[in-house]
Amino acid sequence: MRMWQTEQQQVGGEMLDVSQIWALSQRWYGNRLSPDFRGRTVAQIEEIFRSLNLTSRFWYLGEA
Amino acid sequence: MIDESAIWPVRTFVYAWFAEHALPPSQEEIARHFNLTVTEAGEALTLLHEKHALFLEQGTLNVRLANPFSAIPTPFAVETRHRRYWANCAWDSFGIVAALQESDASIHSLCTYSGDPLDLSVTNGQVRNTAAVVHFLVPFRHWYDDLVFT
Repeated sequence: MRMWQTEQQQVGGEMLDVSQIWALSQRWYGNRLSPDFRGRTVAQIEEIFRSLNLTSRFWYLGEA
Repeated sequence: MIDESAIWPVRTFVYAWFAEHALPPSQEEIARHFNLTVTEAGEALTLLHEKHALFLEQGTLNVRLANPFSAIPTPFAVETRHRRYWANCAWDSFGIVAALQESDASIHSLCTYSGDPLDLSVTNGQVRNTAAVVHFLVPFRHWYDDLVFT
């Protein structure tokens, strides 16, 4: 696992553990079946990422 | 041309159908449910695709995915008490459990590094096998450039 993580870090991107993924899934998809769901504003997405401490540039919504 | 306000009930219907059948409805099934013509159902799907509310198979009016659900088999299978679903990626595996508001589910996937089967689960609303990690390769701002690849 550690070797794989090292290789992936060289590739780039972000790694989240399963607990983080579950927390993100609940925030991101918890209301996806609701008839009221219309997508999210940038501010709403930023709030979700911030609440889960996903604050690196990877999660930045602006232009590259 | 279908009224844009009419597309959102179609979106809700597609998601409900996915939840019930683990597959998306066809254009004809959508038309029948809403008493639309097949052409109007296709227009609704096209508008939803353009708004990233769901995604069509390229060059068709078939729903390819409605995140977190996949219309085609993938390496990410999710089993709830009721049925088996296909997710678009590792994250979407948990996304299906969250979207369905299930407290118990099994996720069957493959370890990217070893190729070995990787079984994860949600039990009583809590995840198991918390040592596993998920790699996000594409930065968030580019997720929709090529969503199937992402």
